[in-house]
Amino acid sequence: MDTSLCNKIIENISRVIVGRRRAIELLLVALIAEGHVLLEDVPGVAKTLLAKCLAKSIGGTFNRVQFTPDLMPTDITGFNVYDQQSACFSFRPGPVITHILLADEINRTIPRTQSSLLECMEERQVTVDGKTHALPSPFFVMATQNPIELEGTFPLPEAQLDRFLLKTQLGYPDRQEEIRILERFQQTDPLQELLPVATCEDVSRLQQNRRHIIVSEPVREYITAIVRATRSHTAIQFGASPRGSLGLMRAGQALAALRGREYILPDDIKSLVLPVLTHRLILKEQDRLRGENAGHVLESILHRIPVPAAAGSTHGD
Amino acid sequence: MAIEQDQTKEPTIFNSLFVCFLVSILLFIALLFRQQDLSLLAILILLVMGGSKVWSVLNFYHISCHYHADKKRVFPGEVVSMAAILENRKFLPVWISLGWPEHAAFESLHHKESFSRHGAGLLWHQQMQVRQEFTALRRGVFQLGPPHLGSSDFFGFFHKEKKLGKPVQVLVYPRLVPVKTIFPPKQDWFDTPGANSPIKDPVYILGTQDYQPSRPSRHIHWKASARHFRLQEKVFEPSESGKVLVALDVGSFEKKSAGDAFERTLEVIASLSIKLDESGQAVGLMTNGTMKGGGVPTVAPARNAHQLPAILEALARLQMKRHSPMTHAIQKAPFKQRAVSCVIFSYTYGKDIVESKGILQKRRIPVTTFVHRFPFAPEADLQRPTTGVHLIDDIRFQGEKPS
Repeated sequence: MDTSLCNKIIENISRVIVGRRRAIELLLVALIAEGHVLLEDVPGVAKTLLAKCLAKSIGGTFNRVQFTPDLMPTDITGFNVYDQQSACFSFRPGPVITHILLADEINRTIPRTQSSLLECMEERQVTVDGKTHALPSPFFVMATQNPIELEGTFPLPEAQLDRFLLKTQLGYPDRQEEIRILERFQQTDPLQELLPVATCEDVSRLQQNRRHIIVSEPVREYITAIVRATRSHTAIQFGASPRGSLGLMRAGQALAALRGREYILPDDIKSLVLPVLTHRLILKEQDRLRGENAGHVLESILHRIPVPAAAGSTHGD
Repeated sequence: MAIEQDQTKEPTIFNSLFVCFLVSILLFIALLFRQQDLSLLAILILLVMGGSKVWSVLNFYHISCHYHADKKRVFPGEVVSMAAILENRKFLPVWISLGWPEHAAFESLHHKESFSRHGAGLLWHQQMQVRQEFTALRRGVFQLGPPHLGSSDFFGFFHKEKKLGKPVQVLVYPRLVPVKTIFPPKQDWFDTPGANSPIKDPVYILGTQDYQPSRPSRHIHWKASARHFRLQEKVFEPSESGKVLVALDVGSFEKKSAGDAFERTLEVIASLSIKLDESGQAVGLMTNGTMKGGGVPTVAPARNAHQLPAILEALARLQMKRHSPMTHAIQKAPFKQRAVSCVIFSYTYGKDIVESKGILQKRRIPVTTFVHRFPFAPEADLQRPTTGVHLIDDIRFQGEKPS
């Protein structure tokens, strides 16, 4: 596994984004695991900048769609227009035909438009008027939503949420980071000076190599135990689906690859449980009213389930 | 959790200096008359007493106790489980007991006595976990604990008790009751409540978009279509984004000392807030009462994950004690947002409510009032003084009505 390439991408993004190492790593984990990311954070914490940096670093194309209530599915997927000269319909691609798609404030649009992304995210193709168009590889959706106010929004349906491999937050920078942001952006825009350090083919190769990361039996059992515990927890109405288990395994493989290992450690899984599973759980009404959140519940589950010992040693590494 | 100083010492016959004095005299006499057996007995008694005393003094050294509640916010009838972990961090074995003082607002499960206690012997560097469950009985903010630690020597001569650190604060929300759906009047586009509005449907046009064949043709915007040379349809803002501010006149309940009615009203408000939130409306709360433990009794209408817990917490902390007249509270209320309607809860339909409604009507804010009882009317034949005023018990389902 080419860890130097992953590090190069992280370092390149860090030339623009101050701090946020964990968020950048998670973004790369999702990219390598062929997943998508949901960022739930307040405006102005460099969500768009992060997506642009990633697109530039891998030399891919980038499109941003601002989701509004009047956005229609065809505004995203594209549509067929009638060409009078050639007397036939031609496909006008929508912004979804790109490598990196930033779906800004995804919960501001109607469920119909939100659902139009389902096929793109899962099948990596788009169907317009019965004709299917393949999306470029790698295809990566980074969606954002505002956690403060839900008024006038259409919360993402569970089926849509389940399609996101990770849900994470950037958070506000600390004092030192904020001072460094001011220094960095004082005279020039570092994004303009950012050069690609990898190609889309490199990313596709990383994605292919990720599949060969070894997942030992104890780690598989650990993943299953965590996911199954979410289904029987007293505070959870609906636990994580098997897609959650798969997501946890894939993200674990990607993190192991990022760290230059050929096998997953239980610690990789432990560190990814919250971003991978938080958005897949539905809490019971009473617990929601108590101010409980999925993060607390997952922490209690992690605390309870024993971590398998010496899982990495099973393949003699 | 650090162990605090001694709270009580239960006296036994052996911690009395008088007994020591008597045994010492006995020893002296026995030695004087060379009574070997008696001397040995007296020495043995003194050694046991001294040893027990030292043991009891050392008992609380290097004992750690950590305790926590599994839930800090509950509804009446729910169980709060208090778990404590006791650890003996020394080589001296001890007998330790842990007790939770009873609270009037909680019922201790499995223990009917006034002080539930669990005791066990702890060997060197041994741990024990003590769990005690309490059922919340009524609304409010309560302090559970702190637990009492009891210890004794091997013979049980010198019993000591200590009170541990800080109590655990538990918030008990109002009970949730089944309520009927209410439809608070909505402000329309021109902020003019009433039926004369030019727009009947309370939705706003956000813009236009290309007409989709599956959509109703009545939504076609003909002027925009003509301008764009293609069919355009209107895009509406979702109609469910109404905002409701629930106002509670605490003073009216305080004046009549109507504690039960106050609790019942809080139950209705809590249940109604949840129902309105479920129906997609932004709910807020405003009262003129005081809060136990401080805090602001106003929660501006909003829709987010923290809104209902904030409203329920405010209701849990609310006391039947007026802070300011209702009219003052209404003037300060967060009505700056567009399309807010107000639902007022009061004990009676009094002067304060009439004035408050007047203030709101001047601001063109539609008001619905719920009262516990109408004034100046015989109990058997309640007359409604005006339109838009309803009985609180009317929105509770019949099964929940007081007998």
